[in-house]
Amino acid sequence: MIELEHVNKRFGKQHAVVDLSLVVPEGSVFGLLGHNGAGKSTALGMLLGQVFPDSGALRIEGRDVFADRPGALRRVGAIFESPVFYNYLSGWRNLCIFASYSHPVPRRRIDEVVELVGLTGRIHDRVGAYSHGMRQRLALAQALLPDSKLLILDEPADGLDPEGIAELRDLIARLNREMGLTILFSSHHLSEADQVCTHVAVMRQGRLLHSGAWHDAHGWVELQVDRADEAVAQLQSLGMVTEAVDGRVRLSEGLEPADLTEHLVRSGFRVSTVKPIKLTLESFYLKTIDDGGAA
Amino acid sequence: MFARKRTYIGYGAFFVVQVTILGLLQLPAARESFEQLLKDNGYGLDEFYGGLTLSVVMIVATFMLLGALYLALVAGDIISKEVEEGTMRMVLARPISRLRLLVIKWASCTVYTVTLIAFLGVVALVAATLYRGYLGKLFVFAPEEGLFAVFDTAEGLWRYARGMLFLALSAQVISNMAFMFSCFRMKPAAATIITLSILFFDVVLRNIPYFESYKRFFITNHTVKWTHTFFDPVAWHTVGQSYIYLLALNATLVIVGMVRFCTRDLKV
Repeated sequence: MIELEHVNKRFGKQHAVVDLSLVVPEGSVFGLLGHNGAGKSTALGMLLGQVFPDSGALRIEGRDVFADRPGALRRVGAIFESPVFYNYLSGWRNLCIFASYSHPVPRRRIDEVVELVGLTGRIHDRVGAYSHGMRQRLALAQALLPDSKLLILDEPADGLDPEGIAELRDLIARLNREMGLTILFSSHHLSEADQVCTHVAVMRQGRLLHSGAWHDAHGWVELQVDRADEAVAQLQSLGMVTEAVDGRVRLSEGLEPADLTEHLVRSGFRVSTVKPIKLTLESFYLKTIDDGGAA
Repeated sequence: MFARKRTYIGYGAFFVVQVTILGLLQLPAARESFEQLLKDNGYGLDEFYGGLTLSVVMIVATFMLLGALYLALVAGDIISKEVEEGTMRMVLARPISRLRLLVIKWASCTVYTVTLIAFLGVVALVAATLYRGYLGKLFVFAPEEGLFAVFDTAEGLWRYARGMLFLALSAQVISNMAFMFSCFRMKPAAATIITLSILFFDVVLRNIPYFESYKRFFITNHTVKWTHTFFDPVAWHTVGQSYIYLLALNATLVIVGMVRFCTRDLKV
C-alpha cells in the first residue's frame, strides 16, 4: 500500500529523516512510533507531498507521491494533531470545501460520513463553536470523504481526554475491520497503539530502528546457558531461533520455549533460564530505543 | 475569501470613508478652494461640482487612504494565513496540485481586487450624485501628472468607467506583490507590511528630484497612469507602455510566488 525507499530529509544541519525505508501492507493498522522529533511527522508530511524529500522515493498504491500526486492521494484521507478548519464556516461548508479539492463528492456521501462520525445534529453549526473532540470527528469525516482506502493520522490522540482516546481507538479498529481501511498513524501513546496496531515501526532521531508486524516482535526468550555462544550458534544453524541479542533469542515460528529447553538439554548444555519475554508495546518500544534497533 | 466576514467589513469601511470624504468636501473651505480653482480656469462651480467630479476625488482619496492597505492585507493573508493556521496542511492532504490551488487563490485575489474597485466606483458615484442631486460635468485635476481636464456628462461617465478599469489594473500590482510574499515562509502581517513598505519607499523615492531620470523604473510611476486615461486626447502610447510594464511586473510577481510555494516544505 505504502512504500518508502531510502528517504532522506534534512532541515538545515538537522538530518530529520535518515535513509528511511518502510512498507505499510494493505489492510494493516500501522503505528509509527517515536519520541517527539524522531521524524515521524516529517515522514508523514513527505508521504502527503507536503515536505519534499532530499532523496528517495515515496509511493502509495504504486504511484509516486510527487510525480503523480493526484493519483497517489486520490483515496487517501489525513488527520493531523490539531485539526484546523475555517472556523467562521459551518462543519458542512467545511466538508464541501475540502471535498472540492478531491474528485466530486455527492451530497449523499457527505451525509454518510457525517452520520458515521456522529455529527449529524451539529454539522450546520459554525466550527468555531465545536469542542476539540468534535473537531477531531469533523477531521475524520473530511478524511473519509473521498471514499478513502488509506487513512494517515498524525498524532491523532494528542489533546484528547481518556474517553476521547478510547473512542478514537475503537473507531480506528472499526474502520480497519469493517471498512477494510489501511491506517498509518504516528503516536507516542503506546498503550493505545498496543491495542490496535497490527504493525509497528520505531524511529529515533530520524532513523528507523524497527519495522514489522507487531506479532513478529513477540517470541523473544531470555536464555541463560553455559557455552552460550556455542548454544546460540547451534540453535541458529538448526533454524530454531531467528535472532539473538545479549542473552535473548527469538524463536522461529511455531516453536515454544519448552522445545528450546528440550533441545539444549539433549545436546548437553546446562540450561539455567529459558523465560519468555512478555512484551507490551511500551516495553518493546523502550527496549528497541535502548538497543538502538537491535531488538 | 468571500465567505469571510472581514471581506465585507472592508466594504463597509470603504463606504464609511467615502461618505466621510464626501461630507468633508462640503466644508466651506474645501468648497471655496474648489470653486476658486474652477473660476480661475473660467468654469462655474455648480456645473462641475456634481456626482461625477466628486466621485473621482472620493476614489483617489479613498484608495490612497485605505485601498492599498486593504488589498495588501487581503492578498498578504491569502496563502500565509492558511499556512499559519494549518488549514493549508489540511487542504494539501487532498489530491490537488499546489499549482492548481495557487491559481485558484490568485484568481480569487484578482476577482476581489476588481470587485473592490468596482464597488468603490459605484458607491462613490451613487453617493456623490445622491448628495448633490445631479451628475454634472466631469472635472479632473492632478497637477503632479499635469492633468487638467473637463468633460460633459456622457463623456465624463465613459471616462470615469474606463478610469476605474485602469485603476483596477494598477491595483493588481499591490495584490500580486502581497500574494507573492504570502507564498513565502513568513507571517501574514509581514507579507502585508513588506508590500506596503516597498510601495511607500517607491513613492518617496519617485518624488525625490534627484531620481527624476530614473522615474520610469518606479512602480508607482506606472500605477498612477490610470489617471492619464482622463487626458484629452489620451496618450495611449505612454499608457500602453506603463501597462505593459505592469503586466510584466505582475507576471513576475505571481510566477516568483508560485515557484516559491510549489518548491517549499510546509511546516509539520
